[in-house]
Order: sequence, then structure tokens, then C-alpha cells
Amino acid sequence: MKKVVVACGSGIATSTAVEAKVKDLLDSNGLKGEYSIVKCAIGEAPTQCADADILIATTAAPAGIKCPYVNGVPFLTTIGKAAAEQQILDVLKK
Amino acid sequence: MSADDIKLLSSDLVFFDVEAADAFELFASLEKRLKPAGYVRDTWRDAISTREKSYPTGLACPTGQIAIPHTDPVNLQRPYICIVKPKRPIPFKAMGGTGEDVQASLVINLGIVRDGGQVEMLQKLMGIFMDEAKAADVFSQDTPEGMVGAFSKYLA
Repeated sequence: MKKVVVACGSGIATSTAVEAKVKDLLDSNGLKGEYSIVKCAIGEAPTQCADADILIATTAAPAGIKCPYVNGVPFLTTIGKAAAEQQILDVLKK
Repeated sequence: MSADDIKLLSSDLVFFDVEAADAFELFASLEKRLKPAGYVRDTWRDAISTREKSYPTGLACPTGQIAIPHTDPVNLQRPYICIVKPKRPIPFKAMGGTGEDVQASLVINLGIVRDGGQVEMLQKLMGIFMDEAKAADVFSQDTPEGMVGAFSKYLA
């Protein structure tokens, strides 16, 4: 089971929008049932990421995270979305 | 998303007369309008300014540049959506920590107080700015009623 952390400033607004898009992406790429998503405020991300496989955030990467980080803003604007999707799949399909 | 969430769109909270050199001047100007009307608390301006500095909200969408500043519910009195089409675009930093500048020609201040419907609204809102015709319609509005009408149509 892969652990995906989705974060934004508050853990409420943009992270929820990104979470929905990431779920669609993973499910349509055969990963349904193979991951869990934790949504949080970016302040909690370092703790949540201690045992995570990937962090997708609409903020800069916080200091001290060891898992790969992907900028989640393309899921809001669609600009650069294909590249962000590929980055996520590359990490999670390993 | 319930009809109540759509009702947050109000022509009283659509402003075309705002001039601001940056996000922080905008928040000062909005505080003068939102606080007396009972939407935000005394802590709001500091909270949203700090939040914007740490986690900027400018978005360069394919159809135009916008910003969606928001802060924690504890600083709000009641939920609202405030839409500003400034006289001149207002510089914001781009969301995502890239340090890039966004010239926001529309600012949507989301007074979100809970998870759920209002976040769904944010998702639909983003949908508007990915669609050229819808975005053009919204960007071209020049009356509060027109702006509320356009948003309501696409958010419903």
C-alpha cells in the first residue's frame, strides 16, 4: 500500500481539489486499492511524510521531507498537468 | 454542493473599484468592506496577509491570471465569496512556491468555513478558468449583478 500525502496551506481548500484529481489519475492507471491518501496542512506534512511514498503540495516543499515532492498546482491550472501526472506515476508505479 | 453554497455569491461582495499595489494593500481595502458587514473578524487581515506570504495564491490559468486568497475559518464570522475585478491587475506570487509573479485581473476571496460543499465550489470555480468561453464571460463582466450571474451559471 502506497501512502500519498496531499497538502496545502490549510489542508482544506486546494488540497481537496488536488486530492480528487490525483485519485482519478491513480485509479485510471490501475492503482485503485493500492494506495491511501492523507490530506493535511503543509505544517503537518513533515510528520505525515515520514512514512509516505510521495508528497503532492500546492506550496513549496517543506524542509526535512524525505519522500519525493511534486508541485500540485498544475492540477488546479492544468498548465504542466501532464508532466506532474507523469512524475507521480513514475514514483508510485515503481 | 448545496444551493446554500451558491447563495454565498452576492452582488454586495463584487467590487470593481479596488486599486491596490499588491495583495497586502488589497487585504487592507477588503477589511474595510468585509469587517463592517460582519464577514470577518479582527484577526482576518493579519491572518490572510501572513498566509499569503507563506503560501501565495496566484494562479496562472490558461485563460487568464487570478488569485484565490483565503485563510483559516477561525478568522471568519460567516462564510462568503468576495470577487474583485481590480482597476489594474494586482501582483501576487504564484501558488506552489516557484516565486513567479502573477498579475491577477480577478481576485476571488473564498471565505470557506468548512470542508465539503464550499471546497467543491472551489473545484468548479477552477473549472471555469480552464474553459476559454466561460472564463472570457467571467472576465468581461462589469457589473456586480452580471458577475454574480456569470459565476452562478457556471457553478450550479
